[in-house]
Amino acid sequence: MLRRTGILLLVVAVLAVGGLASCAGPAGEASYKVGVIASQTGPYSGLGLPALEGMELIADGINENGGIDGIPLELIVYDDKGSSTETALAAKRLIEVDGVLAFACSTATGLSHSLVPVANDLRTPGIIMSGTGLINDQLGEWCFKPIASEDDYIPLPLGYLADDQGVSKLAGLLENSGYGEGGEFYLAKVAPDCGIAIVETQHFDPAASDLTPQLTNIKNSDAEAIFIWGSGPAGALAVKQAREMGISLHIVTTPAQASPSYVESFQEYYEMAPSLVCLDSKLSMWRQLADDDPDKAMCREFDELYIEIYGHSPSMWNAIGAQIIQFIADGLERAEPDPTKLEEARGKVRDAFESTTGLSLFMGTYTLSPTDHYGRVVPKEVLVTFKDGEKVLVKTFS
Amino acid sequence: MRTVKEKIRALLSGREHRMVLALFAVVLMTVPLVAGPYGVIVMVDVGLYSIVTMGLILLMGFAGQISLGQGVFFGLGAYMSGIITTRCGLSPWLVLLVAAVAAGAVAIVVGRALVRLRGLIVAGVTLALNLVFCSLVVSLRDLTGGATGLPLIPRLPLGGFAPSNTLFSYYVVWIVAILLLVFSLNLVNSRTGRALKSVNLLAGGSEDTAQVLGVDIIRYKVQVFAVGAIYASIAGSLYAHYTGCIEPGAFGVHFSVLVAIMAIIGGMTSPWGAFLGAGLIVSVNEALREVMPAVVGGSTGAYELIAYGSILVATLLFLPQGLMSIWRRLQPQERFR
Amino acid sequence: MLDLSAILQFFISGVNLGCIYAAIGLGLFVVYGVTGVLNLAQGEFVMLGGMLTVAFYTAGTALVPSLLMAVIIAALVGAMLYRLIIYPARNSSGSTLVFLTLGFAFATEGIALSVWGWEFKSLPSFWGSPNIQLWGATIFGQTPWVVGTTLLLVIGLFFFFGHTIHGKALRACADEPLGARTVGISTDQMALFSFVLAASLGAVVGAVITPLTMTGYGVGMPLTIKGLLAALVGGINRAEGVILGGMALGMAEAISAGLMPSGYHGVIALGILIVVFLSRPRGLLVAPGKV
Repeated sequence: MLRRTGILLLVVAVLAVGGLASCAGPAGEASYKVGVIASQTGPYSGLGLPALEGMELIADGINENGGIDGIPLELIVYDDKGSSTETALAAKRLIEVDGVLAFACSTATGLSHSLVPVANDLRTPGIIMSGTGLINDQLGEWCFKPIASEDDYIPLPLGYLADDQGVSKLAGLLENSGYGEGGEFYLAKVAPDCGIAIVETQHFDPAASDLTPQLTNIKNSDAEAIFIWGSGPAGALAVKQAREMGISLHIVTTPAQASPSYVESFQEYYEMAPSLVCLDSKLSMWRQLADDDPDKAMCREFDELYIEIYGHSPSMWNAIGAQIIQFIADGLERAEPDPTKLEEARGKVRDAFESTTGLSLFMGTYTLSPTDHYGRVVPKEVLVTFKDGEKVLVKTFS
Repeated sequence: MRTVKEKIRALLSGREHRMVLALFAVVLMTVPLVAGPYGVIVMVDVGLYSIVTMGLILLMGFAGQISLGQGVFFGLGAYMSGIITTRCGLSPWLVLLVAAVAAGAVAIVVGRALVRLRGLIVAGVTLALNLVFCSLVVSLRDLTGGATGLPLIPRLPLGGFAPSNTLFSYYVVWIVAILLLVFSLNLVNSRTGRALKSVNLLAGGSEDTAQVLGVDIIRYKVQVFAVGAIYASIAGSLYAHYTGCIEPGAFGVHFSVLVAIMAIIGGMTSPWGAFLGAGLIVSVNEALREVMPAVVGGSTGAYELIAYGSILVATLLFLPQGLMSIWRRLQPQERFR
Repeated sequence: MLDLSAILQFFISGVNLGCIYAAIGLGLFVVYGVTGVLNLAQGEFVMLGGMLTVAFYTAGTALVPSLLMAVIIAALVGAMLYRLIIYPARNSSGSTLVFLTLGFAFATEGIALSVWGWEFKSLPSFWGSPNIQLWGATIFGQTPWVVGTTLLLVIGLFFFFGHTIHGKALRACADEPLGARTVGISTDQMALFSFVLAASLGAVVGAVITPLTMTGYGVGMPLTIKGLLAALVGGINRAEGVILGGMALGMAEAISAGLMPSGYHGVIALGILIVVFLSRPRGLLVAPGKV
């Protein structure tokens, strides 16, 4: 008994020492340290893991080319474990222990919002990839959200429904999450401008497996099209189940449903007439972009590099991860901070982020200012559909 | 003459807990002087978890009542504090007390229904209550901010003086934790505690025995349930003001299960177990964050999860009664049983 | 705009969900009945069954051998859980054992994530079974398989527990462990067998529901929670109770999703469940007040 206890005490002691050692202050080294909080386990790992892949690719590329002004970029990555408490703790660790110049996160919308007070309290620039514009006016001095909000890109699918398909009555089928809440708010806000009325709103849990009750209610309403708004498998299941129930309304969805694994599993249902229309990124559709499209070359280059390194084309979340690091690298390049003087360096990086002008990345072109941390975004979303086993470009912002 | 081990045990068993308490308090108050800023940050979380866990230990260890729904009361405290202070601008301190009283009242109503149920059913009901609570927070979006979260919750004020949020929160959380520990130790040794101990529900004592002995076990159980809820609510309020932004996921089943793990790991024989359990689980997490990137490159999340699960299993295999039982094992005579 | 076909659709959805929850609850029941352990890793067996079947199937194996191999591996994992974790701690309290299974569940989830990644996977419905249209409502091709599997499990368990020597021995262990040991039944063997049985049941369920619900490394814990609610509301001591509990939960979810104001259906479904819990504290099958 005593021996066992002894072993256990030893383990506890080692852990305690590990914990305390980790509390030592940040050490200054000659690298640009950037923190990353990615959802690697838990329900949002589908948002964090692919983004991380894209982030590492860009960071490796920068370092192979001699870093930023000769200084290498060092990514320090923590898991958020699908919890907002852990998300905040990871950010604080990055700031206090690792001494990062800036940090970024890729996780669920609600979780990413818990980073806003952390960035502002500890005066370190934080990049959040929140899926909703509801947070835009609450970012404070130190938080940035360089990604399009709903009202930037909703006009594209709604315009398609109204102008190309003559739809005037729409049903929303929305995920019970921060992402879905943003969708509901902005659908109601933007739809009237496009001449569309929202006649039915139904909700589903992110882990739902049977959406027939919600779809039945939509079927029995006078909606002419369905907008499915979700970030996980339930949104893709909704498309499949709608078609299986014989609902032949137009369906448009958010980008998650165009993820390769869902397309592969549900191709048959995605292609059933009228074929599913998804929001997607220019990146995955670069081959079908017009030759004079200014982004074509950039997308092509990244796509080829991605296939070379990882053996598959980048998904949208890969691209989002990649562009977070590109955004940060752009800021670091202009700020030229001295990584040994942390406080001053963080301020410089923040000022550089605020003066981002016309930065063209995969998901949009960003122009920020001290009063606008979300930026005047020129969105680059496209609409795609599915035909004969291929994704087909339907519409772009023009 | 008593051996050192016996003395330690006597100290921890509550008979001479004043000295240990004083020592514990002094050590805690000096932590910020020696630990770095991140040490203090981690200790705030340990303190918050400890408070909730302490309530659960009273409930499980002394009233023999499982709960997988402490997240409800943690969330009630956090949302009441968050909503009332942002909407009405009342003093956070006042709201904290009001929220705790309200959570206690809710717990008395719920507890009356719960204590009539037995064993595992209670686990089921509390689990379901926790799921309902989170759904309700999402549904009542206009009031709670929904899944997007409730932002811009004010900090706890201290007169006109505005100290650093982390350091101030550290002292507030740990002063509250120590006060609640003192209260818990007194409760354990009070009429209620003795009554509950007399039937020794944890060791399989039956409630029928209590009835025969004339102990109004139902009333005591409801009281302890309310005390646990008040602890959780206070911790929730402090959490809301500390983080400044809350979302329903933080009060879900995962939280309740985590707190239950802390209670089991710490040991349910004494309120002290809460600090051991919370401390161990949080340090394991931090140690894994520190060590894992050196062991495996790239994304370490999956490996951290594997290690966390394995450590949980190993600890419970070695110490099925939690860390508190180390002290009992050090007792010489017990080895011969 | 409600019509009978809508009501029928909600009912079908409820049966479908109810069968899934009941089947998971039955796995919990088998282990709990024999050993008194609440096995929070039951959902992980469901996950393993689904993921392994997908893995073998996409590697080119036919469906039945894929499923069989998945079940065998899951059964081995179940045996491992018992031998390495539960058996050494068999004298610990019930709550310690519950959290041991939880630790095992975490580790299993982590291993599945590191092996298969985060992507959700699916299977085509078994042998391409077609959807059935019934008075304006739709029954998915896979649903009969799910319902049939659950029914088979139920019938199999009743037959097993009621009519085989093995089953009677298992029941004896549950009812009177000491007495069972006295008459020469090895409670240890029986406990091991109950874990293997529960793991196999879980794996079959996991494979059968995958065409309907998709599967991924993290589906285990949410399914455990549903199964747990089903088992506890119905009364985990009796198989009939578990089945009834699962159906009640599935129906409550489907009907509130269909008929209640959208956005509140999660609250309402579980609210119904809590009312049932409180009014029937011994499970659905025992009248309130009776002990």
